[in-house]
Amino acid sequence: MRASTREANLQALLADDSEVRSHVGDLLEAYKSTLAEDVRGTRLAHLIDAVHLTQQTDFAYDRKRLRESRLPDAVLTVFIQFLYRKHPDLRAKDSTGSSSTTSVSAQFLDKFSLRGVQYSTATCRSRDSHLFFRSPQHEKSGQITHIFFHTHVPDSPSSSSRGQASHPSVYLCVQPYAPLQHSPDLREIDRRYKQFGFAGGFLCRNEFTPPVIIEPLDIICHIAVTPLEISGHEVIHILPMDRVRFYPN
Amino acid sequence: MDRTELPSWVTRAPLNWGTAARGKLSANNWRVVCTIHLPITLIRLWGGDDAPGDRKAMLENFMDLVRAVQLANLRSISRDEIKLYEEYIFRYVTTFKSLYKVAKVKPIHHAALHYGDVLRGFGPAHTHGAAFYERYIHSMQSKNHNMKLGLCLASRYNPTKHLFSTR
Repeated sequence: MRASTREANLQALLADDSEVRSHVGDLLEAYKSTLAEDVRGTRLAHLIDAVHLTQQTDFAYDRKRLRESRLPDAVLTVFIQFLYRKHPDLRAKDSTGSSSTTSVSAQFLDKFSLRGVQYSTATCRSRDSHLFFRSPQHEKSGQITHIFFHTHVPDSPSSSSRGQASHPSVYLCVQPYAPLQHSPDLREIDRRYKQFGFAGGFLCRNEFTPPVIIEPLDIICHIAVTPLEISGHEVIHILPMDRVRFYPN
Repeated sequence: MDRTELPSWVTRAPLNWGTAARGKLSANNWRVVCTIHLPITLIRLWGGDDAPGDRKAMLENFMDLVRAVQLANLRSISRDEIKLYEEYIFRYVTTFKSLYKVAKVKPIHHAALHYGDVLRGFGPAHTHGAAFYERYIHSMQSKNHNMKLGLCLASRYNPTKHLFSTR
């Protein structure tokens, strides 16, 4: 009780007293970030208004960890294709010039938080890098390899209509897991899992297909990944996680 | 279980669950075991057409429970999903009675049948769940005390110690 009272008094003191604020300026930012911490499953997330947590679509990241770098060639190629699909004008513009107008530099990030759920690259924290996402064809599962801000994207009315105004230029490079081979044994086991829908999951090959670019809004949820060996084939079992709404087919 | 890679917000269940050495599991441990690890194994073993009939029926029954729990734990839930929850939990309880003749229907089964009304009235589970308080109670239970409510004799900076007379 006393700790809660002290906490409330401290907040009032910091809000009202400019002199105190000037003395603890350095600590204030860290204090505010702890106070507003929104990581799913933490104590703070349960204490903060739960309805607010559900409805907010916040995209949070640490600006200090942004680093400027050149997009790897493999990522740049798929990124340009992605931009061409998203901004058809860009394709027309590029076709008239000798080279692409898309900048090769971007600001890279290792992790971010979307609606209180943390996502990160495979190299930073593998556990948070597996995800289920929407792609132009259908939903897919994959692993995040790069997260980057790209600022040289032409404005388009279509981007604002999809509600991307809050985080317009964040992109994720994801390596999708390869679909199953036409092995009857594997198909049979996969059918067993799929008959239970979102609760049973499904199988994929333990290999990646060429990377694709997605935006944070394309993320559906995290997945649990289990490597299995079935009839001599290396496969992985994918199970979409709960707590985050999952859209079954 | 050991090979399954889970997101960081999912607490791992102990690998030796179900043994005397491990003892009781927390509600969250049971949820992780039952909604993640058991489906991966049981569906593979009992989900085929060649599986014995009773095993298949047990799996169907168990997966009804898993689906109901998954739906009840969604961060946001629609009326259609609540209806789906009710269908799964009703089928689970009725099949449970016919499959396990010796097992008794417990109050928790009855409560689960009414949980759809709770979801309809109060929204998703986390808005009225008591996970935070459960953790706090667990923290308090770990404190040494003499079972007598009274004055605090310990550090005034730890709020949990105000509730008990410490040794």
